[in-house]
Amino acid sequence: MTSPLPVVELRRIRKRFDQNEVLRGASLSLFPGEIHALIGENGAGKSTLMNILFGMPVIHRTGGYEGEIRIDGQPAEPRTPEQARALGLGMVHQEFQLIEGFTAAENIKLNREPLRGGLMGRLSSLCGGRLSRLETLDRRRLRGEARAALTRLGVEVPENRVIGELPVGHRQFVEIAREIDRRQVRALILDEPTAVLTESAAELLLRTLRALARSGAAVLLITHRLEEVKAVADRFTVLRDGEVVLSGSVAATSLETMAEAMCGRSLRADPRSGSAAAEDGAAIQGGSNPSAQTGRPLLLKLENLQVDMPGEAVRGADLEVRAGEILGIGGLAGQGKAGIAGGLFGLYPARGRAWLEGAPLPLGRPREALRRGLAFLPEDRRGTGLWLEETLALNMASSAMLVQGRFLRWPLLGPLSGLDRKALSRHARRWIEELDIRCEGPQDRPIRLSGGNQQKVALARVLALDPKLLFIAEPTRGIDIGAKERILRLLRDRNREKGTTVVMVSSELEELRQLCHRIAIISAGQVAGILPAGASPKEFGLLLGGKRRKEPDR
Amino acid sequence: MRMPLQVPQIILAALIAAFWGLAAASPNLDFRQLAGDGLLRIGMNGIFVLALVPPLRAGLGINFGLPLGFIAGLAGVVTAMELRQRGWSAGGWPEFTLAAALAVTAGAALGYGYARLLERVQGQELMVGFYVGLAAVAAMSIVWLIAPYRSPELIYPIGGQGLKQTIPLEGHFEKILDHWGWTGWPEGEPLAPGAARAPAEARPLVPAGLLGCWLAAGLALAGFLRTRAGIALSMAGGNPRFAHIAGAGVPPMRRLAVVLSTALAAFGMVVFVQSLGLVQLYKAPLGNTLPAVAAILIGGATLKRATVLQALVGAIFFQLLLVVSPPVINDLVQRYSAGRESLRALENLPDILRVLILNGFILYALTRGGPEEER
Amino acid sequence: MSAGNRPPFRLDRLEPLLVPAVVFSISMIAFSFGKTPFSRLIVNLEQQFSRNVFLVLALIIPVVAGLGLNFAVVVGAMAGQLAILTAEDRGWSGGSGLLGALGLAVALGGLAGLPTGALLNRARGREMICGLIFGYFASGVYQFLLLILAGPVLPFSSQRLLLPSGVGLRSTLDLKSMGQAVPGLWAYLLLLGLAVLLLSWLFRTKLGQDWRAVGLNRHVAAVAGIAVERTRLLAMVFSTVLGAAGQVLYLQDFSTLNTYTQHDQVGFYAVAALLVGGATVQRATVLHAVLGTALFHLLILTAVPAMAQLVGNSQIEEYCRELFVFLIIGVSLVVHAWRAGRQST
Repeated sequence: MTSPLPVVELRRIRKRFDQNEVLRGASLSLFPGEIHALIGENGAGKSTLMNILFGMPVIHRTGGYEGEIRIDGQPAEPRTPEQARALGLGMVHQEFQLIEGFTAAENIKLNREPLRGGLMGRLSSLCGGRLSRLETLDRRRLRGEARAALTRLGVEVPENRVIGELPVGHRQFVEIAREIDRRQVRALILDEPTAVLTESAAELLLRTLRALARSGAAVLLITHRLEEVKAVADRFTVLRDGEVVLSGSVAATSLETMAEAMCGRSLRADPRSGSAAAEDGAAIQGGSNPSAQTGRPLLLKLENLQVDMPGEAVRGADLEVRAGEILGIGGLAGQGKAGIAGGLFGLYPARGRAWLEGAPLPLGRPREALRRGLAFLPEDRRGTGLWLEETLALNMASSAMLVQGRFLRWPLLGPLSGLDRKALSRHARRWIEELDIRCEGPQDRPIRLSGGNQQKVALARVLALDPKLLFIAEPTRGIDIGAKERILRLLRDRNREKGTTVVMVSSELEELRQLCHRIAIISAGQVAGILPAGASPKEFGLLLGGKRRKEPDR
Repeated sequence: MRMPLQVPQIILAALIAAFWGLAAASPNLDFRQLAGDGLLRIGMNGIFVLALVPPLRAGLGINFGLPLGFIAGLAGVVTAMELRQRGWSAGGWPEFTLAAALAVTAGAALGYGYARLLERVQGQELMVGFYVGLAAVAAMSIVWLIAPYRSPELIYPIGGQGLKQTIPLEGHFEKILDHWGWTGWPEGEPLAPGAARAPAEARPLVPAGLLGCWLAAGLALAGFLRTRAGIALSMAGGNPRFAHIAGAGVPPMRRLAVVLSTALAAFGMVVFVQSLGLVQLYKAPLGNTLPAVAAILIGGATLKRATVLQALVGAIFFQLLLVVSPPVINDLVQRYSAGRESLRALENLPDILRVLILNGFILYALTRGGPEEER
Repeated sequence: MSAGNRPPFRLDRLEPLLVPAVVFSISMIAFSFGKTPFSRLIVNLEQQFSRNVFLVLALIIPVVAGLGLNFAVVVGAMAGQLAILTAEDRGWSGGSGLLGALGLAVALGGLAGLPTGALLNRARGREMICGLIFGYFASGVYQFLLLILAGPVLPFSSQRLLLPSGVGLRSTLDLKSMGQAVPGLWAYLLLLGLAVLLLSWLFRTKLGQDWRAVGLNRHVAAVAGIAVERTRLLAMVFSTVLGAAGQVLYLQDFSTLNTYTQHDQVGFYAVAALLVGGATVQRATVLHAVLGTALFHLLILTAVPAMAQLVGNSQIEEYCRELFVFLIIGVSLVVHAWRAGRQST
């Protein structure tokens, strides 16, 4: 390529968090005047790569990184966001970094307000600038400069309106205006900027980015929306498992190729060999249309489920779970797959309707849900799935004790009945053996165990209930390969031997395809589609990255 | 139950030990009398400290709304006295039992309303509780003034309305618990030589009934915490999200904790009053909250964890300090001031020390344990 | 929350007027029932307003900076008492004496504000309860200074102030030289004008902007590079300084000082006054403070006697006053917590 010197160049960046290698030598270069799309599933390493570039403290707290960053050809090592900004980088985060009660102009000039100088200014310079905070703001100039930055973006945002009163799209522009208002910004990084926008606002934003790139800035767009990449980007890089698997010119690459690269070549192999789906999939999947299953009774039905989970909102999901199946729920981060079970069990406010075995099931009443045979293993293992400071024995028996009245000494006393500590220990020892939990016995505490063993303890709690329907979220996240296989095998055995219905939420599509009969993909808070485990990677890729919410913002 | 021994506790223990050592060494102080006073004060205040355990365990933090329970207790006592006067109850044990029953019922009822309020103000429980306590005491003061009590023992002689500031319990159930099972002062028991003051009345030094009641309350609470409901309650505080999905039912458990706390505080007030021999109305109950809070924190509790043992130990520590420091400091000042008037000012020191230690421990607890969740 | 369906904000704008309007109406109804003559009400109100308004103004900055209602203003009050005691001891009087006392109050208040701010920086999310308890704690320190150190260590020498033993100050003092040191209404209005100007100037500076930013969203403020903790510390220092000066102005008008208890209720009353003006835990302006001081004392001067009259028992006045104060603060806190809870879910 006969292009000028890249503004930003990342060379063979490696990064590990504890045992987990999230970047394995990723490289990327960003040229002035181009829009470069960084594509990848969650967990592919996009955010980590950007955090490294932007000097986020989390990187250095966890032992730094390997590899080289060059800015304008010069080696650089930003250790704080301030240093990164001084190097000419600007970043627009997924969560707005705006003060709701400030006007757009005040936000754009936040902590860079023009001061009036005057008497106080002179007094301050006499004291070596120590009194500069007592200089008054030059509000006219503040407004003017903010307006100039917005004009440069080519958008009409009333700079004197309070942010809280502006629509989401405008807030995004304010955020971008703040980044480009700093004089030396030459590379702008945007993390999923259109995720929260309506279609028209997203289009306006993309047009603005184009204009920005034409004016000579380099734009790095992190996204998983492939149409967007097609529409706006010049070049792209696909990241998977911490490696660059594909990069090149957008014009020369088809959408399908990108989707395949994103979801991984491993999907191409038939995942169904040795999986549950392979053996009894045919019995469950009623032909090519997996949603039209017959033969198995309906166990759980969700209608228009809406969950206010921050960052994972569910916006009207409909789902049917058949008795005896293993249903996977997949989707990218932020699309709402994590919210479904959380809403059902009342971790977040939820609306909508649910039926269990034909009878209505109230949302957000976990005691009733547990009593009727549902159980839930949340993804937040340490915060929600376990009581870290208590004994393994109590953790494992807690739900069965509280809901089913087991392990009690004088059950007739009701809530005042005492705990049968011996039965508790016996129960714990049985599970420790069955799940091969490495610990010092029933009196050990989960806080001392490794991630995999913790997960097994959490799993023991829900299995002790002997549930009809088990909701399980991200059961293998952050645990070693051995424990992973054991847990997946356990779920499969339970399903096969006891007929336990399992709904598994996972961000690892591969894992879902190994275990599940059907996989529902959640996008924009709704069920975008349900595919059989054996569907092609392309189909998954398009569902994952395709569908856009059509209705305007709430 | 672990007893985390930390620097502040160790310093305080050393201070207490030093004071008691000085008291034992001093020729002017009656050590037995002091020890007896200490035990009495522990028993009197101990139940207040226990009342703080359930809300702390349920994750609601310090219950600054204890005065709500105190006024319920006082209402129980004066109502029982009025009823006795009207001939609806016999004196002594029946009257005490009636007072306790009324107090606990009123405390539980007030506690339930207070719990419903706290449910709506998550994150501001401490402040709201504080003002609920203050407002309740002010409102109850108005009630004391206009309530239709008629017994001449209870009300101001002039005007025929309004309960007196202090009402003696003589002839009702004064000390009924303190001296439970005691049959009489042993003949000819010699008092310590050179005692500062002779006992105003012949009574045993160890208020066995009172201490028994305190320990029984502690045991009952500890026992409750081991039941299914008690475990669910602790779970709601230890990890509310886990408790929720595990089926413990977090809001009902928090309500239960507040009701228990307020009812215990009410019962504690009945016990306190019988031991003091006086009913003190109006603003008096406000003074009992912060010492109880300081006591449980001194016992090693934090805003997130508290055990019955910590409440028991904290009550002992704090009262031992409060009882011993004024006489010891006064004695030292008297002995070493050698007539110098200027050193007499140091007699104020115990009071100042109490204020500093009490509030210092509360501040220590409030500012450690990391920032409260802000979002 | 997304932008689609925000509440219609015209109603939002009217809402702050609700509390003052209700309080005013109650006062007027109570006044029409009561027996107080109008002229006396006005005189009393003028007196209470002029005494208290400075202490209420001192509460604005911490609210803006996100520290909530500053119950630790009693620390400032104690600094002010120390200042006026020193002035009284030295026999300062008149306008220059007042200026001296105010200067001393500013210095002592600044000194006392530092530990207060440092403590509240460690109490994130629990600033109000910490400020409250710190007020009690500081009261212990203050007693130590004035009961034990005054005389031998702190240079107090006037026999009128010291106890006969020469150590410690008397518990009730007539402020003979500092009493009524403001030489008339004009001087008083000048002082009020200066205080209001000072506050509005502060809010127009960079520091004022930072207070607002930190108060509205400390996380974003920190990401933007604002030194959050230092900004909050400065807010407490300014508030404590203003509180110290406010207590000097209060005492010179009151002319009597209960050395060890005068500050006890200052925080509660000032906070209640601010809230009656329509301020909240998160929003307060000079207007709220001025309006609130007037309305609060109007309420106390009218509703409390009216209640006593209604019940036919004048003893309830004291408790009524307290009940009003605690209810005003308590209800404001409940509303604040309730709103915060609704926003977060």
